[in-house]
Amino acid sequence: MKFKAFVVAASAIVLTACSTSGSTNAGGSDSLVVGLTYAPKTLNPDYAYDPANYFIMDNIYSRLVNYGYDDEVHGDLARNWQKSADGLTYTFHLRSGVKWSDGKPLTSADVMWTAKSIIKEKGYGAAALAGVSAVTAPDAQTVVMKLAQPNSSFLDQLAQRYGWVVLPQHVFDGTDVTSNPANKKPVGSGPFVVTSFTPGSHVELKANPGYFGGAPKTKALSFRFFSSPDAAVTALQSHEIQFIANAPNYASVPTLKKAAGITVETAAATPPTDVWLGFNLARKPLNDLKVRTAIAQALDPGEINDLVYGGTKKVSGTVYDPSSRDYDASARQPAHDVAAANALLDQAGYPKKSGTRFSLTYTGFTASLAGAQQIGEVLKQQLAKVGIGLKVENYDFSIFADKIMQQHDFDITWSGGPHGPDPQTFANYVKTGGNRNAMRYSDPEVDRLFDEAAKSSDASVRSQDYRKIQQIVAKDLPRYTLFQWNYQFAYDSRYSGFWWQNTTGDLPADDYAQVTASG
Amino acid sequence: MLRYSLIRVGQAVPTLVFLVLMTFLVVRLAPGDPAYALAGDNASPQYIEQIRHQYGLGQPLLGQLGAYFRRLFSGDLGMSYSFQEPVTTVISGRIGASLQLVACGLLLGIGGGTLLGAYASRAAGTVREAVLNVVGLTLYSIPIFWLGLLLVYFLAIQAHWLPAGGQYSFPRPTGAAAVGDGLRHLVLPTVALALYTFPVYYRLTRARMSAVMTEEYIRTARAIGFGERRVFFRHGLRNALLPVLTMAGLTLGQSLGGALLTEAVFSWPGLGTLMAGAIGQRDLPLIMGVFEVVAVAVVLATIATDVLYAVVDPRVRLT
Repeated sequence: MKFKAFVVAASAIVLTACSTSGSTNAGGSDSLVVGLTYAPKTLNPDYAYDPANYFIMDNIYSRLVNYGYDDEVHGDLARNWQKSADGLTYTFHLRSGVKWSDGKPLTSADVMWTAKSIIKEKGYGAAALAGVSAVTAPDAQTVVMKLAQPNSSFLDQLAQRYGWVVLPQHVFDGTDVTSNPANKKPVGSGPFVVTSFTPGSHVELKANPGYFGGAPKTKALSFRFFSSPDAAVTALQSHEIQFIANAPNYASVPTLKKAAGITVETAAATPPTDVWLGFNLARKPLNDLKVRTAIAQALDPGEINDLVYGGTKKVSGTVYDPSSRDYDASARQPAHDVAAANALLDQAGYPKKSGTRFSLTYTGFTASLAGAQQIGEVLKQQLAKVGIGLKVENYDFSIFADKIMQQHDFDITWSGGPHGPDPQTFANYVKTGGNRNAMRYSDPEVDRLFDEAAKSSDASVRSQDYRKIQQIVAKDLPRYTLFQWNYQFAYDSRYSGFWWQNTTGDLPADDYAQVTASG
Repeated sequence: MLRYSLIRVGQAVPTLVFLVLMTFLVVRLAPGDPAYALAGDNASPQYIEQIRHQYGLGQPLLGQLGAYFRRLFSGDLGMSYSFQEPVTTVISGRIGASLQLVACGLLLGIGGGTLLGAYASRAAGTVREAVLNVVGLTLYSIPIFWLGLLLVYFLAIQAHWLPAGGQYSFPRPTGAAAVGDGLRHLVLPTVALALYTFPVYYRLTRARMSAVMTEEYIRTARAIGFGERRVFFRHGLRNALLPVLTMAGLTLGQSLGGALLTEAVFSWPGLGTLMAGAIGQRDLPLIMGVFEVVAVAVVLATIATDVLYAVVDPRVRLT
């Protein structure tokens, strides 16, 4: 019968396609495919903020100075530098013989042009250059930056992880920099050269054999963008990718730990990153210090860590990150004590009426990597023990950000961000008008200490200032620090040489130049 | 014929305007500020304001709508926030992958469903027909999303036979290897999409064939002495295919919707993953652009089916 023949033939085609395929591509020994659940809009971090570029840009570009995984400032294009006695002039000496990926030489003119262009375009890195009054290039290998007033954080600000890579003047000068085609087909001086970029899908790069830091061990590097964390995990399990750059979601970590050929390792976030609960100080009863103190006493961050993050985060009990400079271990937040919390709330004038004193709202967001959604549920149970009702609301991230930062419509919220290594970073969160100060905390003494520390060239004065700030914030509790963030990285077990495994510490995070595969 | 076609196209215009209007309103009235999603967690208020100005988000709703319709007529779907490219450029870069998937999935689903349906009608009352019926009904009841995940789990993660997702391997193979690599990546999403359309055509063809084969002209054809194969294909199947044709037009539209889900499961870089990413980024122009392109495709496919049906069956034009 003809049909039978056709049906057999049709099934045969499908089956052949399956069976002839053999095993799926597992990347060559000198190639690496990295999964990412963000997709960058462009490959130029200097003119627009785009979180996906954190994971990619250090492979394409170089900076003047950067942070290594050890959280110290290292020279990148700058071989070394001097600071003048008055702290107002920084002279950077560049490496010689550095070339752009199009073969043209990289000189001090490129660095100078990039700095001026970032300031002009108000790019994300412009904040780092805000105090710069003049940039000059006295010769091809020297860049001089003059500051209007001393800034002890200047080098740290230049080394900050986002928005300050050196761009080629000969490609960008005289063009509309934000729409220049090189934003998508970059000319860089980093360890890899982009060969193709399909927005929303992938970036392909090949090793730059002439890279000033030595030719990368990985010959071909690709980033694949996934629309969901689960899709990235699936691709890792089937060995189509070898690493997930922004870490797998928590729910999949137990599965990945058991999976054959996949290694899961914990690595500290760099720069140090903390997670905290912010209190809306403009609202009653959170404007009452006694209420905030009682909430802090009611909280058990250890339990939250166990239930939400499988116990993988570090709980310090202090207000600041222990791995940051000028950390004060004595700036401790109130210890977990339910009885004391109940007593304090009684004293503050919020007696229990049929089991509840008052109700608050917790505002979180739904991205699974952060755990903000799950934290709300644990908080609800912990606060119930002291008679505080908690309504848990979770939103899509952009709605969440709008509610918190623009509308200030929250009682308690989840927040996370870098805490160092430069302690001045803390000003973003607790200085009056700080761009991440959603609590709208304002303390004149804290503001004064931040300003004094920024201007002082005396390390001991700065250290004292920053420690005082930590003490004040630990008592005032505009926010409650929950944990120090880290990542549960999952990768193909044949690979090694990731930044957190590098012993010298000068490799920046998300730099894949040293990654190699065995066998 | 031309008049009929023009009337059908004319009737589609209000539908399209309504669709565009609905998309615009639903997306704009949703809570959340797209300027925030664009500027990022660490951005300064000045930077966010700059973004808002740049994309005209500060204008009143009616002003935004008027401007949108004006641009739409000139074929300009706006700039995608998240790609910083014209929406038309972004969509045209992705639509090929979606069409490839839909074409392969439909070919396999409609072709397989029709042939097996015809076969089942021949095998009426046998165990083979019963088995096919159970398979057909089961597939009809399974959500495509779940089916896709099962395929990935068994064939990609466990057996390592086929890639779990994507359109090609990295680093990209070249030459003949690239063709083989592309085909291997196409297998799972095509099968998932085909299994979604297959049961509909299986059931339709089986029912139609059973009815057609009892018609008098079949008896006549047999009486004339035509061979059984010729009677079955030329007299039977050809007539049974008329409703299949109608259905195919509608399925084309539905499949685009089905393909959006399939793409999400298999990370297929087409309009579906584009849409998912656009929603996550609150990329309004892109969300609306994809929606409108899909809506237009569905409406056009429906018109094409109507016209095609009128060509095949002249009675339609008279009503």
